[in-house]
Amino acid sequence: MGETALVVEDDPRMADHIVALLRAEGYSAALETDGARGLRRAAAEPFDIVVLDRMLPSLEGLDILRRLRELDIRVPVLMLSALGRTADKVEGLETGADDYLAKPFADEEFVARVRSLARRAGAQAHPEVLLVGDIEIRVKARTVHRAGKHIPTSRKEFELIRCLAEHAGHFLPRSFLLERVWNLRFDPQTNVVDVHVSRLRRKLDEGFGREALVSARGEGYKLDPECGAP
Amino acid sequence: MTPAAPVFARSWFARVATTFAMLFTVLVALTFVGVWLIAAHIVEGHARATLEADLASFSEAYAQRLLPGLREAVERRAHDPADARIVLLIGRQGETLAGNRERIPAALLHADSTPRRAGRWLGLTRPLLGGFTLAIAHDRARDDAILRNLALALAGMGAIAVLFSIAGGRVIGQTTLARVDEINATLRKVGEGDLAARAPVAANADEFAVLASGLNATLERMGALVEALKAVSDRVAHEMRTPLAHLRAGLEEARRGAPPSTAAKIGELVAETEDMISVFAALLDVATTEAAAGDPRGLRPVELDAVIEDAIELYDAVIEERGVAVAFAPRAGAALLGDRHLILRMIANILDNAIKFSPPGGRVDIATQTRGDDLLLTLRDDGRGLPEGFDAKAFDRFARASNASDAPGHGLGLALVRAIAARHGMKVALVNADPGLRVEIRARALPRPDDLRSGPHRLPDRPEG
Repeated sequence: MGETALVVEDDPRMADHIVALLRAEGYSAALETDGARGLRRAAAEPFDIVVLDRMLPSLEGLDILRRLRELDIRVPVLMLSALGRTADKVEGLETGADDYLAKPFADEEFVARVRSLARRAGAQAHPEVLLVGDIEIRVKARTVHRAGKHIPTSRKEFELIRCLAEHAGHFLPRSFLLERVWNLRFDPQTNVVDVHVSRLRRKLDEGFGREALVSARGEGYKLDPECGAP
Repeated sequence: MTPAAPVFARSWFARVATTFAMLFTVLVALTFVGVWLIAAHIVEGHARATLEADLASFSEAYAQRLLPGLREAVERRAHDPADARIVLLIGRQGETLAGNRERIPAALLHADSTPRRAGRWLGLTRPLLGGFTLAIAHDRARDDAILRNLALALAGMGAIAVLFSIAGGRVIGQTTLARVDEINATLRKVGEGDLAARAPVAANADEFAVLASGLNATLERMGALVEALKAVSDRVAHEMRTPLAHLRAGLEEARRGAPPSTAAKIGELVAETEDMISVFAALLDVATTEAAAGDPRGLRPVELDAVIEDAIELYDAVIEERGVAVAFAPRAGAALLGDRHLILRMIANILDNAIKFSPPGGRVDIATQTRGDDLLLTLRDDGRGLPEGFDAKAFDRFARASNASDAPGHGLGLALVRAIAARHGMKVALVNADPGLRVEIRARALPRPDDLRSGPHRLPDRPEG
């Protein structure tokens, strides 16, 4: 049996989109468009993840979350909210949301966050060694090797490659990397992520046949799991 | 303005009140001088009248009983203990026939019909039939004493009037200053972003109470407008986010099913949408941060030096790529009350600008220090600086310097810096440093408590003592 997800979202266009994204990730997704019904469903059925909109008819997302936590239902919750309301994020996380995402968002960002939540809920939260193609990352020792050759990294470069490796094969948008690696909730004017990534790419890919760090405009960056192949 | 500055230097009311009191004093002084002159005139008139009366009684005594009668009258008058005067009856050869003096001051020997002054004396001589001469003089010593005392009394009253006018001016100045200061303190708080500040209104409905309640009504209206504006921006955010989210979701869906060349094109469109969303998000961030100005909720102790180090770490790859040197001299070692994310964002914005406008091989100097109760952050680049007069506009939304049109950005970075500064009650100044630009940020430091939960490792360069 696959993983199950509950989406509580009143905007039908967004709801369809989110459900489609979750299905593409292998979830069987249920949808509720009303706050009170969403709370009843989340409390009654054992979901693996709940995606909760902040503004809903009949019962607000934050209230649903509060009630769920009061009922000791520890299901991972991803909150969605309006753009430009940084204060909402703090409030959401303090109320017990596991993650928070502002609409409009990139598909890759949403999927990466869902994947992170699923991983955190599962047992394999922090594996000691990450293997992506011919890249080997040792988390405790904080070392990176490609095809047996040691790649020196700075503190943040290590966090960057680790984050990319945890989501190997998937594009990660800049905003996701900024939050996970630098703990930033805003996009600096200069594309610092691009510059960091290109510096890391020079270290990682120079002298190797196949490019490991792939970028695509509008999508972000990914570590290619096939990079060890000839 | 030093606290020792005299109230007259600070208070218009004190100056006006004192000026009027001084004018009044001058008027009183003129009146006093007039009073004194009139008094002197009356006193002298009285002296002349007694002289005339004496002369008249002597003439009468001579007319009735000739020389013996006159001598008797002169002797009696000359030895009147109640009246100090000279009375002399002089014979044909100039010998004294009667009187209380051997001689009379020469100045009194004149033929005028009216008395003449000589020193303390006011006197006259009068020839009688038969070759005799009568000389009498009034002693003015007592009159002078009376006039002197009057002058002293008037001068004393004048001095008291001057003192009262100065003291009155002071009191009026101080009381009005105290009331005006209350209103100024309210305006200052509003200027620093506390829109809920109100001036105290006295119960007696005087002009200051009217001013304060007028100000309060204006602030009330302003607060309502700000609230309405915030509601509008929230509403816009709500209205725009849905179409933007739909646009983005639709583009992503279209990209998934498209052939590679179309997918790449849609990828470009997604990136454009992303830029649009980020401008919109920045604008909303400015609005919500400005709206939260003066609100202490959600603020926690933040180590400024540590935040700057994080910002530099965030930019280290960019710094390396641009070949710019960034030097940081952390000398503050103190915390401030703030939102760490916002302060990092503020520093990232000014650092971003400094790096962006630095020539290759340029240098950015960042320094922090404590000055009194304040934390001071200065960031200086050696770039092109600001065009003349732009520093006042630099913090406005979408403001772009004429010499920065080639640089990327939407002109929202400094608007956000100002909003974040207002949120924290900080002061930001842009100073042309020739060459380059110096950004100065002044914040109120937290008193340095030892229970502040921050590891000492966060401040490696903290000077001892």
